[in-house]
Amino acid sequence: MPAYKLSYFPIKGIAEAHFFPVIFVSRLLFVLAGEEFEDDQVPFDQWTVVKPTCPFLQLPLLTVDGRPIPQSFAIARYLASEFGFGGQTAFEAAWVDALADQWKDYFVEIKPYLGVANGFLKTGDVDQLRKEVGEPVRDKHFALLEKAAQDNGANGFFVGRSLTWVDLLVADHISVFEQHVPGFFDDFPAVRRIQKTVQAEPRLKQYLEQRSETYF
Amino acid sequence: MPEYRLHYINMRGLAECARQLFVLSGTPYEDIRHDPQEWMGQLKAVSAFNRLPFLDIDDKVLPQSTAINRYLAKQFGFAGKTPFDEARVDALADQFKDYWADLVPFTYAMYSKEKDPETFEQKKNEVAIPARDKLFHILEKEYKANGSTGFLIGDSLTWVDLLISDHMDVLEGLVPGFFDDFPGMMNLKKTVTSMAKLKEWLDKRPQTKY
Repeated sequence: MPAYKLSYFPIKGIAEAHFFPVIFVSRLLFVLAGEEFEDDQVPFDQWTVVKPTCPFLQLPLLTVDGRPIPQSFAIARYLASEFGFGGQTAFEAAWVDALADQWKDYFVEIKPYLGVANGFLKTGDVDQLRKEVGEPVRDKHFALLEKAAQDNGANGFFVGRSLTWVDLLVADHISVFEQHVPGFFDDFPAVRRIQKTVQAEPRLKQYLEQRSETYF
Repeated sequence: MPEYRLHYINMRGLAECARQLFVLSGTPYEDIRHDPQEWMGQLKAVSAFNRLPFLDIDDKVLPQSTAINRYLAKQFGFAGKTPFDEARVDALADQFKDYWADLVPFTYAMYSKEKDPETFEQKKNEVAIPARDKLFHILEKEYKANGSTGFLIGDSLTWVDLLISDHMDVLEGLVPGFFDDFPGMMNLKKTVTSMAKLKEWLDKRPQTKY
């Protein structure tokens, strides 16, 4: 088996975790696959030294037997494919990608509300931002995610009949989000079912329960 | 052979990479260019994600340009030769997407260049040039580290070569010499655009500025 190293900035607590969702998807994939990895949290005061060694001058970075892969979605997709959570056919894999990209579009737009709702950003009127940003952005994008989940049979997976990395991505995101804004995704029952499927996954259950203490 | 129908508008934009993948692989497809008004009116309601582009494959549909590009590239052998190379291609494409997001204030000015040349100049200097330098510094490094094969990853064309090359062509049309400081990327563009099947397409495709 290859030697995996996942490098990223230290994340303390739920507020920061929100802004680096794909780190958690990668970690969940390692847990699901029962694979070890080096958990390389780079302290901020080390960044000037570490930065030039990163191909895209950014974190996160996955290193596989010493060879780097930057960009969080490239990392998640690579690990998912290697471990069997990338989709069962080429077409399914493409739909996983499309849904993940749709979520990414949503995430970029909702950040101004999300940051204030979870205390990461210190200024902003959380109620006003919820009305003007949070709800419209959520409704616009999650309508599409919900439709995809419904079209797939509302079976607890976005694509096909088994877990893929986009199930992990969205489920983890809404679990964390709703610790600050309970019920925010109540209007999306098929997506909710996906969240429940991920939470009940035997290989993840123990890890997720332990994690809820510190979010780490 | 599946029947492919690519839906977009009359622009290169987010569909050009997919078109070029069909052309390079010699795969027939229907290059559908919707009228924007008609799109807003009728078609939006029936497409998968209410937006363009999307790809019809027989009776199935796939939205999101990056997912489409990657899917077609994999089908036709332009995704990278190993899983690791595929991941490197994905990473470059995502980095390009981030760059494209950085460019947003400039792209608005770009579409109204004729009407408001001053804002165009201003956004070019404040937005486009720093964004370009940040990305293309990385691309030059990747290109050199790849042994100057003429491509960004491996020794043959991948879909990210097409993305970068077409983007360079669009911007050079607006700002001649915009990428002159990046000899590796200039070479990449030359290599890509001189491939026989692609050259033919570039001459005969509907000529649009972007």
